[in-house]
Amino acid sequence: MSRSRAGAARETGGASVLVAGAAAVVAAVTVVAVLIGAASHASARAAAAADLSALAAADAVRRSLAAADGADPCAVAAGIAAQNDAVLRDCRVDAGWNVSVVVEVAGPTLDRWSDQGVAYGAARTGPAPQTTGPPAG
Amino acid sequence: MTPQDGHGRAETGMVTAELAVSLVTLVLVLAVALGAIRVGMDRTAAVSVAGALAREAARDGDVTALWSRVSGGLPTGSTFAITRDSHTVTATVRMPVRAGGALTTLPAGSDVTAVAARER
Repeated sequence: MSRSRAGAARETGGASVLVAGAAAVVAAVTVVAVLIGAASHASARAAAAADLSALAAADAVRRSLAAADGADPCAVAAGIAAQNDAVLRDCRVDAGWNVSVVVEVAGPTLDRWSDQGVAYGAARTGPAPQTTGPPAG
Repeated sequence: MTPQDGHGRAETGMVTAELAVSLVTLVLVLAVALGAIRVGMDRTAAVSVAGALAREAARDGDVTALWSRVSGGLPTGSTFAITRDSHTVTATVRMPVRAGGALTTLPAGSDVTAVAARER
């Protein structure tokens, strides 16, 4: 066997191993990036859903003060959260007409025994802190 | 030149060809991966834009003016739509899928929506 033949035999497959290694690195980095991106996306959705739910609840509080409208602020918040693909986990209306909500959105998880991870969003609405009475209107 | 030498040189060329083909494949896979990540980033950016539009529309604000201020980070060609029913306002942001640069914007769209209660 000549030297060139032996060298070629050793080199055959070398490129495949190199590229397979690089492909594995690309795949691993992509999976991590997609998981981080999905977590960030879930977090943004939770924050938006919390904002919109809290505003809806605040408007329900305002209406219930202005007239006998009768809509429960937390029920309104739960409805808006659901329409934003979130679940209302906590909702409180205090004596100062402040509404606090916490919502949950399904997110990615690395835990194979868990169906879904979650992202939480919290928001609070109400009159400005120095206000002592109910909002005008 | 012996037949064996010729054979050996041919195989050496095969290694180079193999490397060239597999590197091109790797670059394509990388481009697809980066494109997918970019679509995810665009969608995440659109979530807060859709939320802001829904809040503005809920109080009958100037949604078009708001859109011109907040849509700068979204892909070129993104559009929005507001639909109202008796109790809620839905803001939809539709983005073209950009993958791997301005030249390869796919015709497919990607939608993000937000729903707000109408303030009455």
